[in-house]
Amino acid sequence: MTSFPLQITPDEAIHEITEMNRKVVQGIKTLSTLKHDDVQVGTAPKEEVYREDKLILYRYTPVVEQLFPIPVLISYALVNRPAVADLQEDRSLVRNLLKLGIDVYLIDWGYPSRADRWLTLDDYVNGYIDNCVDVVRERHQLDKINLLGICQGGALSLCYAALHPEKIQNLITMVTPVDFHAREEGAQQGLLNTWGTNMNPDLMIKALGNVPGDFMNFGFLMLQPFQLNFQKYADVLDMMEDKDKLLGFLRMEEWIFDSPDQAGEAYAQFLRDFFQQNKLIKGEITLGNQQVNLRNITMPVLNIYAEKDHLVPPPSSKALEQYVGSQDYTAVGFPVGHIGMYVSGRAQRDLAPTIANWIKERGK
Amino acid sequence: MSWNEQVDTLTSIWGETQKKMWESWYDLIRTAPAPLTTYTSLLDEWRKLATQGVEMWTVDAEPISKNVSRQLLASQSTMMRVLELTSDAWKAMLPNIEKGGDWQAVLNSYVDRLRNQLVPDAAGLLRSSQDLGELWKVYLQELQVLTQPWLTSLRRSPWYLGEALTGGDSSELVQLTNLYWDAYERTFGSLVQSPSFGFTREINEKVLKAFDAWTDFRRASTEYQIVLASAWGDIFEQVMRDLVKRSEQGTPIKTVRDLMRLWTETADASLEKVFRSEHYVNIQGRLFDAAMNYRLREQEVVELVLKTGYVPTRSEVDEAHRNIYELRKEVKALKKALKGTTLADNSGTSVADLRQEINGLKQALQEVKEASGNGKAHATAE
Repeated sequence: MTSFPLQITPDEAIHEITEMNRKVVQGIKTLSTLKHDDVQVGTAPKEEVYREDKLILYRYTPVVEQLFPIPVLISYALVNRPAVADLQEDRSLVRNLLKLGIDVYLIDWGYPSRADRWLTLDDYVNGYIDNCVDVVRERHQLDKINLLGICQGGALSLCYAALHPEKIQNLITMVTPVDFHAREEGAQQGLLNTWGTNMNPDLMIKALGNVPGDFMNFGFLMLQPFQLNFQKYADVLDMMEDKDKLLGFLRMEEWIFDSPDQAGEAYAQFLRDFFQQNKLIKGEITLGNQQVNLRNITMPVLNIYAEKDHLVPPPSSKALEQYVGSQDYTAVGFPVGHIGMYVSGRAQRDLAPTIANWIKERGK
Repeated sequence: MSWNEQVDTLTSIWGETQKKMWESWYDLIRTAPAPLTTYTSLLDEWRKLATQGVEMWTVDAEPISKNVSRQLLASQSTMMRVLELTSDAWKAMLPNIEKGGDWQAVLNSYVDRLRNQLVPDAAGLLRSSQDLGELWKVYLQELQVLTQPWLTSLRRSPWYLGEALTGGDSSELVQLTNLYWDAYERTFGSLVQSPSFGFTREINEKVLKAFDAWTDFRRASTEYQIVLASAWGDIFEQVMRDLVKRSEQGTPIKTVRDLMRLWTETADASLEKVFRSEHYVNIQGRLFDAAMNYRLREQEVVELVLKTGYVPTRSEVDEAHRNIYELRKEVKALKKALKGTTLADNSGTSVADLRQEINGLKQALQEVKEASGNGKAHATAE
């Protein structure tokens, strides 16, 4: 050993701490003045076009005159809220799609209560999604529409497209888990998958009814406990004097901690059949009385994945190619993480054009 | 400057930074509207003062602002703790190193001691994060509605266990056992003696089963704490090794925030290894199952209480929800079928025809339900 490993001089340390405290104190003063409107998410203008139980189907207000002839219906995950697709004006997949002339619809699943404890994945796929697809088809007098499934919503969209291929023109999946046991060569599988192996979903919902949103959040936070609980907030000190950056951070926080409870039966089925038993790729998922066979997905498929995704590892998404029946399959990777797919500069610039151009190339 | 002087300097920085933090928060709090309570111990004082400051300044703030403010505070507190832990460790190890002792052996010995001491601290560290604490709140609120004294004893248990492990005195274990029995007496024990119950075999059986489930949960919880405590030992050891490596490479840490970053990177990497291990996954699964089993047993006891007071139980409400769900599903299927029929036949079907069709569909639904068995019929009926 040649030198003492901590060479923090007293003057520098005191200066650093003083500066840090000044920022914290100033930051807390700023935070205390912010109102709900300042940190609202999902603010792109939209209208409610259909409502069923706690679900609301929205149509976003078009911003250009010349629209694509076939609208896109977005089906987001049941965990977390779809507002991440429209976090703020300059970080919004929805707004970017609108600007390119895509007519955007979005399913807001709402917040399940204990009364929804018995909802199954069949209800979500063959009930809610199917009804929303029908509403959009009827509104536009179309036989088929485009479906964009995100994350868990992508897995549900795959099930839907396999069961109702006659209603889907183009299928787009984004950061979607397909092979739940897949991993990069020499790498380990996602931590959530590892933890999921020893959970007893049926016991869980028997005891809890619905699965609390806070429990889901805890799982996500435990993936990087120090980074997500402490370091992230230490880093935010540097943006305390930049109100725009601070508001951006707060909106992300607002979204992260806005976690709906999960309807019990549907959650148990997803954990057991998808996570633990990997039935989606085996063609063994049963919804209602129908078996989900991914080979029935014969429409064009665009599969978008995040190359640095720690929640849905890229091999899990990329596996889709092996299982769909479509002859027109395109996979596109973005050099971002799971959340970066919604908010990173790269995604803001390239994601919506990628989707729009892919649809345009297929003449719809 | 000798190593000894370096450590003294570090220790003095630790003291000075506490004072600085205290002063900053004191300035903030002096301008806040609520009265100030004074404290004596420096770091504790700072923590309490800072918390008080956050609460006062964000009293009317949006929930998200309150949350972030608390996290800012927790983050700053963690930074101080990291500095404290690191300087304490070097101070403790230095005499042996200066005497020419093998730093590796000195470090191992220090980490071993720390690992034992961390058994009680693991729970404390978990609670120090608001979000992690929220989990425990969810768990414990959900799991221990009826048994508040047990909750208290559970929170205290790691300390007793820690003393038992490090002190080698079995009296702490006796104390631990007594603690649980006291809690039992104050909750389920007193419930059994309630005049409205009498001492029936049914309640006795349910209470005993709940008690078994609770002790199993306690055991699983303790095992989990121990795994985490051991992980903290690993983290600390790795941080110290990284510091030694930096010392050898001549790339020392120069700011408090860099030290915090080193801890973050090391901690998350070490924890990920632990979280992926088969041992951890098994312990986590066991804790989870034990918690769920206990909740179910607890529910049985609570439902007995509710029934005695003519209050609807969770099971009864769940059953009602299930019936509503199934009826709603049936109505939706009927509406869909009706819509399809209407679209197919534009000739103006009469109301009587529609009624007849609805009855036919209901009949068909009933047949489907009967054919697929009543247990899972709700999931397959269309």
